[in-house]
Amino acid sequence: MVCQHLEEVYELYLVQALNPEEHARVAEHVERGCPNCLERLREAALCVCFLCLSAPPARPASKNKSQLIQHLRRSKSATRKTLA
Amino acid sequence: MGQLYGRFAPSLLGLALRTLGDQGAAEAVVEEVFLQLWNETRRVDLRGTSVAAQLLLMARTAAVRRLRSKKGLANSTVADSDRLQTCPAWLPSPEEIESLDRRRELLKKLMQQLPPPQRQTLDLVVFEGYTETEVAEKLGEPLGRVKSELRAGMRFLRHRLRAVLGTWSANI
Repeated sequence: MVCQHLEEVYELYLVQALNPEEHARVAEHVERGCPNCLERLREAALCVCFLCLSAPPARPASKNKSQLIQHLRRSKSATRKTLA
Repeated sequence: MGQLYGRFAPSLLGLALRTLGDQGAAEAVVEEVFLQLWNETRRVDLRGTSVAAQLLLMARTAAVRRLRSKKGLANSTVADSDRLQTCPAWLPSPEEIESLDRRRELLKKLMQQLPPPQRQTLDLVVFEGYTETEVAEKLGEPLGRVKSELRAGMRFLRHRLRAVLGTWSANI
């Protein structure tokens, strides 16, 4: 598979819309680190991010943030105990 | 991490809610991706890449995974995207994502310019995690037509984004 054939599919690759075989072919090509494809993938990621941002934002409940911070503290504390 | 949460959680929650339609499930996704990011930053150097891009892509994947599991659908390529999305080499820069975020109203107009069939297929793949084949089955359309609509829709957005953001990819 050469770069030109991938021009139209990078966004679809990133949102996992391709069939498994086509997805695997793109993944294999990307893994080779072709500079053109990495640049194109970056542009595709921007396009997908734009689509994600098109959903209206929503306000999280105030308890969610403190809950997350607690989880992170517990995780950090567990890591310290493991390393000690 | 508290600052990141304050800044990005509303966008992530909106995205997850759009996909899952359930506040509790959407909030769980947001927590999941922040915890995932926390673990990733200890493994991979993400300096110079956009945390917002990282979070958006992870949140979308996590929400779609939950939705597909709920529907009893396979998630065969989703694990792949988790790994790839943490690769810094091709993540957009913070400046690019900020540029998108500043132009949300303009970008909303771009979405409205999409022909309805293209908008419909894009919504199904981006927000409901359908593959091209599944979209064709759902809509009762030939697969070739669905592929054309999706590619045309993405091409439209890509070209408009290039114009709005002044970015051009390398010529292939």
